[in-house]
Amino acid sequence: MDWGGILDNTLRGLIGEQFIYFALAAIGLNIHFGYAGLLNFGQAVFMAAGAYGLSIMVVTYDWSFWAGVGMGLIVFPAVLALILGVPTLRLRADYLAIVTIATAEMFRLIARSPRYDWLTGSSDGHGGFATRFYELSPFDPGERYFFGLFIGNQFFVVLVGWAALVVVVTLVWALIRSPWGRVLKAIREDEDAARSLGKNAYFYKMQALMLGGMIGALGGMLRAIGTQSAQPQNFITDVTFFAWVALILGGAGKIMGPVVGAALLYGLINFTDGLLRQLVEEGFISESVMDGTQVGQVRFLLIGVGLVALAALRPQGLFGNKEEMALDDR
Amino acid sequence: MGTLVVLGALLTLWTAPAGAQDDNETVVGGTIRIRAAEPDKENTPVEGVEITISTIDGTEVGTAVTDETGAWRLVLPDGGEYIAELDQSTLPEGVPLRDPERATLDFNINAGSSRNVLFPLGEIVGPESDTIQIVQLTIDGIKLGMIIAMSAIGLSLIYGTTGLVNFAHGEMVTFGAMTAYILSQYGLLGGLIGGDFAIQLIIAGLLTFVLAAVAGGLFNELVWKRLRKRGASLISMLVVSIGFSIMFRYIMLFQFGGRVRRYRDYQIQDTIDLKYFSITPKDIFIIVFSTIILIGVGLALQRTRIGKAMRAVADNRDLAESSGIDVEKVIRTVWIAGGGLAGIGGVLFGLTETVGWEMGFRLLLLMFAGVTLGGLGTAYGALLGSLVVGVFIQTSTLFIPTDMKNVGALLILAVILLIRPQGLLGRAERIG
Amino acid sequence: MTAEAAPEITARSVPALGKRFFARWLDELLLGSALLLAWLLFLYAVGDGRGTIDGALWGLAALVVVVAALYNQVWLTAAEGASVGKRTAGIKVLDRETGLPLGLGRTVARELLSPLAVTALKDELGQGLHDKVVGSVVVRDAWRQPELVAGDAAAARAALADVSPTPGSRKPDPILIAENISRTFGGLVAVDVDHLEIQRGVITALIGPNGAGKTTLFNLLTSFDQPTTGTKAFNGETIDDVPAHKIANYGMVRTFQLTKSLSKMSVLENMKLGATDQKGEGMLSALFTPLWSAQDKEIEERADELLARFNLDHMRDEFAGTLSGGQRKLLEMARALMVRPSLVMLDEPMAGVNPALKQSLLDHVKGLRDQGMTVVFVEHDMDMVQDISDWVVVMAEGRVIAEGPPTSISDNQAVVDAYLGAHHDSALDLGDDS
Ligand SMILES: Nc1ncnc2c1ncn2[C@@H]1O[C@H](COP(=O)(O)OP(=O)(O)OP(=O)(O)O)[C@@H](O)[C@H]1O
Ligand SMILES: [Mg+2]
Repeated sequence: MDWGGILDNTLRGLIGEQFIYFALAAIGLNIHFGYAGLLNFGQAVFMAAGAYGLSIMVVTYDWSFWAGVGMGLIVFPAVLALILGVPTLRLRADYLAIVTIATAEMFRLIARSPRYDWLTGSSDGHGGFATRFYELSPFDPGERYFFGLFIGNQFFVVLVGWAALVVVVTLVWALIRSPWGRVLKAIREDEDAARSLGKNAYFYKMQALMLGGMIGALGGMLRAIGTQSAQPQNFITDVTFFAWVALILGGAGKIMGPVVGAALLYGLINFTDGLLRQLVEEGFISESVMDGTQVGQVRFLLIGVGLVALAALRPQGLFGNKEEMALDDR
Repeated sequence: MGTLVVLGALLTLWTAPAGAQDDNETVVGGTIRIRAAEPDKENTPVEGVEITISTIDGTEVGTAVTDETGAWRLVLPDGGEYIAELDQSTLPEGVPLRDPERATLDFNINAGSSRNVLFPLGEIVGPESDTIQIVQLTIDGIKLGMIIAMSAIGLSLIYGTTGLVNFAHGEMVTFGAMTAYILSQYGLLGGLIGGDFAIQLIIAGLLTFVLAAVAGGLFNELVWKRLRKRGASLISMLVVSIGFSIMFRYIMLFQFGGRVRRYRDYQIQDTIDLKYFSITPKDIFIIVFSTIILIGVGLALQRTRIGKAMRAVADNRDLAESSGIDVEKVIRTVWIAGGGLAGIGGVLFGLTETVGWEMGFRLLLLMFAGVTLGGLGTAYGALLGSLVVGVFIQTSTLFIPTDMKNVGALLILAVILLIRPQGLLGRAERIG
Repeated sequence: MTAEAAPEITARSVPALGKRFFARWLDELLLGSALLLAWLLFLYAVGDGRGTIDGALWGLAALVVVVAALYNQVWLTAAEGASVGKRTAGIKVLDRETGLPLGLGRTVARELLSPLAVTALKDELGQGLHDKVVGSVVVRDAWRQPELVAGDAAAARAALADVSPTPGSRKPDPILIAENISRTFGGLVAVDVDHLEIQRGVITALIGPNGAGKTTLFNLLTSFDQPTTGTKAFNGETIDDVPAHKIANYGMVRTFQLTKSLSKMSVLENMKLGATDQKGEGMLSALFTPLWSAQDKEIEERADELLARFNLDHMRDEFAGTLSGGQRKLLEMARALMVRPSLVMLDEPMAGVNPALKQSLLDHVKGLRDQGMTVVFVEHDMDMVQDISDWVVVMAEGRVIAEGPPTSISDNQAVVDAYLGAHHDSALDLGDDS
């Protein structure tokens, strides 16, 4: 058994790129769900807005990398939030859930349709839009960095990702402690009460949807840059669910909840993944039970199990406060 | 974790051989098929089409020819960028490429992986007029709508009686389809009984209904009832249902693999040509069968005690409870009936398309559209909304590419929410 | 001053029977069929657009227009009669079920037709409500709190001395006027108030049996629900088009019968939320603490003061969810006062509050009036109504059946009938009600 390899993998999960992408997506969800009470089950499409916002602008329209970043971070997610929010934010929370999950699926169908190949590159998606980004990298692509965990380009993405995380977390912290954050929390608790006190709940929810969407888009964009591709299958609905697991694992409505949750999630995934692969390779698990391709499926399965167990047994998250959660019984 | 035990028991029934895969070869391949003019009908494979692969600098690597299933495949020496060219002269008469410009395609492939390269063929320009197509598509739409409706009634009633948006409902549909598939694999539907396919289907449908109803009941008993007792919030229950959705979906993938299957016994059927449309006996059966079931459901809701109780609970839970209705019993019935109906919906959906691990999840989105359109929580609303969605999806293929027909359905959902947020038959809630 | 007859608005005469029928079933089925029909018709009409994106877009656009036009224009307009005219009187035509404005087609048609409608409406209304409410719109700064004029019980009662104790009577200085307000749920008429005025600076009690429509009336007056018909004015200004969240900025605040404490926020945070016009409530300004920290401190001081007054100061930093039922009622009332309202509408504020605390609350309410605030409250405890109210409005089955000073109410035959059923001939001892 290659325990060293498993350990490396686990560490990479705890602090590596996957963690960063999903921590950002989950922070976005935390704004939506944890603070504003919005049920967004289409975070994948916000992530896609970031990824495709950049790639479409750069690849299809030949814009500069930075212009593409601006579009993917601000314009695409904002427009998307408007499209999603206008019909649903006045309605009961379930409607947003349904419309968002539907939109995420809809987007994927459109993006991979050969008809829009000229725009989105259909199922192959786009590549080669991040050259400018890697040109800025001070690291040697051939070298390994940080205890040999990451190769040069990867390390650059991870560093930029961490910087982005710090900025975003600080921003969220500053917002949530302000009167703005207070209104948001009030809307989560009871929208009618907030409205009776003169707060425009619809407007705040729209702002929250946009902000969380933009943070999600940042995650999606970093993911596209990190993998150097924007592809429809990177934004399937399960991606949204991953972000949800990260959020619930760490605890919704806490600033650091999604960050801790994402680290744990990817640490755990990489650990079980590595372990299972090793076990299959070494013959501890026979081929008739599970083969190499099925290991990847087990990871999803475990996520499902984890989500069920967590939401049913510890809805407050691993570190959350049970008493606070119990206040929910209305 | 009694659930897991039950699941495990079901799984042992389901163990199907997982396809072995050679990991080391670099393979490119694809399938050349004529897309059926009618959506969701089988595509016709094209045999004998030649595809030539060369490297980026023009060196020819090899030529593949499609077999009787329309499939072609070529092992490549290494990863990298290649060019695939389809020899258009080997295509049959009157079957052009959808985009003749795209007879030559570039692709990238990693060493050791396999990859599909697609050459979509255009539709054959048929003699059919638009009128005929519209009639045809409307009928197809009604069929699809009925399938959605059957699956969605449970979803809507569960929402109505418990407030839960059950994201795992799609997996109940898959469960039904898979169960019927397994039954047919064991020869239960074909060889064992023999006889008319309609009879086989009815038996398959009923058996599946029973199994799916039991599964629905157990699901409620083992999971949801306990959560309700514990006073779990609706949102955490919703998240639990998402967890189950993922879990079930990947259990099915794990057990069945990613390929789609068809029911063995009803693959090919002669179509019956009527003046304005053509239809297979299978489709007639589906429409008649689901009409009967839906009318039955409607009557049961309208006439029977438990049906009235369901509507009462869905309408106003507290009021129903205080007037002596056993709400838990009603909820149990809703889960059992909803599960069974979703199971049958799955069988029928599997009949019209294919059986695969993700089919229910795909249908779930259409169910959401139908249910929301009709008004969350109402049974008749679910029916009406689903029919509208079904017909809309099919007829919209006159305008939009078939692969995007569901997009239209979801768009219409958003539009309806704008004009009439509570859905077609829904009612607004009380404030204060 | 004697009561004059309420102005007649004939636009109100909606064909009720037909409406109910449309509302429940036909309407819905028609929308469904219209949707399909429109789509199918369109397929015939533009059949050769198939396979193109333009076709799809045009198809969708056409569909939306046809559906909107069919649904909104033909069916609902037919059902609701002269709704176009009502709109210009400041009566917004809204979906009866959702309270949302009706869709695109109707809006377009309305704008096109409104010049005609205004003329028709002027004739119809004459010198009635239109002049009083719409014709004298006071343009005021919504953010400025109206000045409160201190008063007391004697002054309040004196102001009401000349008012006739009949339903819909005119008050000398009304702060809130409701005209022809009605609300139906399906077939049920929950509220149908011809005319109601609330006198400024007094405590008005709203009583009535369960299900009389008191809470619904509150919802309508505060824009939480949209009336099927009718119009309302606050401080002489129509507030029909004012959404619920702006009502507070006008100086009108309400509490809820089912208490809405914000459980996972601290008591102090609950209070601070109530303050209007906070600089840190904008998303961008929120990021710059110096912009709002001083104001926030002020708000906190005010909140602490009120908490002390309501005996909640020891719970200041606890989660509101940990409060008892009675304490939540107190918190909600205190929070409402953070708005600095000129009109407070309390929906059963004393339900579940212990007697000792109740007494002190009553004093608070009187104190509010003495500071110049106007108070409307719903209450079932007749002792309390007798004790603190200056005026009582009685509702039953959606209508205002009686109005008058508290003493005149208990021997009003209509009130007795409403509470105990008709054919009950003894005077009602409402004082024993609790
Ligand atoms: N959203 C709604 N949908 C249907 N019916 C409603 C709705 N809101 C209120 N009603 C009905 O309107 C009527 C008046 O209700 P309302 O809550 O206004 O009564 P109330 O006078 O406040 O009673 P209580 O003293 O019990 O609080 C009741 O018959 C109620 O069932
Ligand atoms: Mg009430």
